[in-house]
Amino acid sequence: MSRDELGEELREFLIESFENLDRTENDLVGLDLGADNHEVLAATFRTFHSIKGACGFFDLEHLSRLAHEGESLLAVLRDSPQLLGDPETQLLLDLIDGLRRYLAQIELTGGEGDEEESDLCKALQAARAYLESGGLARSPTEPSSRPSQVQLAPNIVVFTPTVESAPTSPENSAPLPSHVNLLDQAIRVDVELLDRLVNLVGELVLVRNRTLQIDASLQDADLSAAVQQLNLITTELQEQVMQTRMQPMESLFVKLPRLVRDLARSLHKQVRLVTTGGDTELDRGILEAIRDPLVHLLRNSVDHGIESSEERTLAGKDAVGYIGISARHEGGSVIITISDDGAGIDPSAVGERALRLGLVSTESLSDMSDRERSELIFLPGFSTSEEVTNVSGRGVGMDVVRTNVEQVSGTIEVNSVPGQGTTVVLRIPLTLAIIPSLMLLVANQRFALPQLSVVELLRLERESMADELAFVGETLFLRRNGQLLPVVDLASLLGLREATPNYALQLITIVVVQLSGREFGLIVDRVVDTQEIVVKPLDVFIGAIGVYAGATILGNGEVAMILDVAGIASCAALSLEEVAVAELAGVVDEVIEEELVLLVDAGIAGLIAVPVYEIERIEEIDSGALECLDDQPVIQYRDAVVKLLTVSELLGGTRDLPDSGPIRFLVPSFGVSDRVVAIREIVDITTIASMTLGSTIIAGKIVRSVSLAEVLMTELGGGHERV
Amino acid sequence: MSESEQFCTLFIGEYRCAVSVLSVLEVLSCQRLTPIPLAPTTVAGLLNLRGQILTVLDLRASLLDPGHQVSESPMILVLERDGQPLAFLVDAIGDVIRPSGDELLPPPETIPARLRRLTVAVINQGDLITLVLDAERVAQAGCAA
Repeated sequence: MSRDELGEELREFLIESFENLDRTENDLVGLDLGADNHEVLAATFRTFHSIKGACGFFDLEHLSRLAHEGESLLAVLRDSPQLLGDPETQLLLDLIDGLRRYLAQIELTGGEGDEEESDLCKALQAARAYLESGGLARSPTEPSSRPSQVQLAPNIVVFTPTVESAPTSPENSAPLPSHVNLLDQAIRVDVELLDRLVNLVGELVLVRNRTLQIDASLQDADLSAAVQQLNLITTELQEQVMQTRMQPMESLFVKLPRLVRDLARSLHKQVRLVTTGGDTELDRGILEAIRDPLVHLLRNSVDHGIESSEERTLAGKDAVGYIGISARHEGGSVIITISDDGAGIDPSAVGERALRLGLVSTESLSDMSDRERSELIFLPGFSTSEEVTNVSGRGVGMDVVRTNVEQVSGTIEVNSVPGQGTTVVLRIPLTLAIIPSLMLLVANQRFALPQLSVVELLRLERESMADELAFVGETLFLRRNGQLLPVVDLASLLGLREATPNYALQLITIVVVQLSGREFGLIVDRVVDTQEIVVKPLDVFIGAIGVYAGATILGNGEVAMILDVAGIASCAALSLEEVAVAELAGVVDEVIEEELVLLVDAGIAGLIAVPVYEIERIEEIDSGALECLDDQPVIQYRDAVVKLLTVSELLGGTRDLPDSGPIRFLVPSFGVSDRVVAIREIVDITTIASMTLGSTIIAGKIVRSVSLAEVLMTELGGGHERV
Repeated sequence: MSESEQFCTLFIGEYRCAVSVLSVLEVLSCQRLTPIPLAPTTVAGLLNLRGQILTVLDLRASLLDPGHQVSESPMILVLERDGQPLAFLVDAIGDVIRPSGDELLPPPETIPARLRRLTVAVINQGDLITLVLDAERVAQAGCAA
């Protein structure tokens, strides 16, 4: 039975018992007969007692009985230590072996088995009876003169045929090897030592990268073979060492049911907590960092989310509230979802409260969408509970949760349907030591931007630049899907170049990043590639500049700064709330206009609306004409090979091409000539407000607005081709 | 300061300076440093010292008047402070000297204020005056700038 199949508690019980028995054995072997052995005997008593105690919990009858007999004998010996002689010591050692046999059996099979150590039990009983009666007469100084020794000795031989040899020599003792395995599987290691290991492996990764580059330039076959080996081993080592720092979410989850139960009781609510994905592993440092936010969110759910049983029954819900916490891996991050079926967040109530607390102005509030209003709960000093309770405290709340989550480069998102419940989604990186990053070129200098904050890459061609980029006050904006996206020119922000966007460029590249649910763009010269980088800390006074999260060493040995998105936002004085609410309001009004869109059934992506001007042609081919190139479906179209992409995969989902029959596809009307987009059916041509972002409702159906130009650009920037 | 103490000499602009050899970890010829945009001018950039990233402070920027003539090929001096390496950009590195006890003098008042803060002694060898800098104070001056 592997260690995973045993329960966590049982495993701990086994390890602890084996350790205790080892110690007790040593104590007993080292006993100086005749001296004051009270303490050793008391410790031995405790060992047997705790094994017996745990047996009741795990339902181990035989083991319990054996431990009980040992305990009883020890109780006598403990009170009269002078009675302890060689035969008794030997009997106790045999008892230890007997206990070990049971423990080993449990370790192997999960159960104690049917065999009873009845002989051993009898010998223990006999020894106790002897000590309680005639033993008193014996003088501890002359133990060998007792007749009982003869009496006991044969017993010992009978009941321990497998451990005839001295129990103190482990190599001959049958049960020992198996428990050594269990002990070996879990050793305690100083966390600092692990951290140093992780750092050293980080160094090794850098040296490996360097070696790979040198190797590529030398073209020596022997060297290449060795370097390849080094490469593989380093990668493996890196994974394994990172693994040592990983802990399952379960270690955090186990504490939650009690917390929720206590909370629910004190609030007179009924709550059922369901946790899933406890085996999802996370770096222990990060796990530590999200403990408080998670507990806070849970408290919020119980306190503010779940209604009282009466209210729930009135609302037609199950009287018992439901809170689910799940954890799962998704593309280099861990997604933790906390959902409840409680009252949800009422955007207008949140808005009113924020207004009353003076956190927003009336004008800005009236311009906010429901979602934006819901997100006001993240403002510092916001607390929705009407009364201050000892459960969720006061004032400090979601803003602290968000700060904590962002400190480990995570993101937090709240989705709520009033009356139906709230779902909070935390996206947390697996580890902070090595992060996937976008390598950017700004004014000929390389910078790393953590990929977690990157939403998409956009490219603007010169013709459209003047139309799409505009200044509002001091801030540059990009028109995107009818919304205005604040844009920062990285080069001028970093003081590397004077002018704002260079209109003379053929193309400009904008990296759209998100921070606290708001998005903004960064103008960069070029996106070079993506790399796994090892984060190195900066000197305090360099970190104080505020726009850098650290530094890293590139494959060529050069150092690159790692950009800090939050720092850049504050450095650029991007008051995102203000931008999104106040200034934008006036500007957005101007760009509202009707737009002609093609309504398309896009398979699993559902109904989408594509602006007609983005489509040059709609074509159809037979699915038999489909070919594959590097796992990418391609077709021959107008004497060229073009990639056939589905809407779903462009939106981040899976590819969904029909297996047979004709395939219709859209030919985009702009620069990207080697890509076409497969669809299912044309539904309609209609008009929508051009600023409609995300989804809209047309003829009773939910329709998602999609800009072909944008999704194709993002796809283009996403690694298929160098930007 | 014992008689047998050795000093590594270095040059910052027109000043001949020295630091105790015990505080010197290593001397490197100038390598490509990664500039840090928005950092103070006293920060020359970041250096990859065998996998460790060091901030290189430009002693010339913090000690000399702006507009001074700088060496085409500066050197990097790595000192130790609290077990941590600290890197400095200087114009040149000279010999290691072992001044006798009577050549070591307390710093005179005539040294420019910026340098005087860092100077713990001067070595007077005939017509050669060498300012003995304190690594600790040098580091502080660099970081504070």
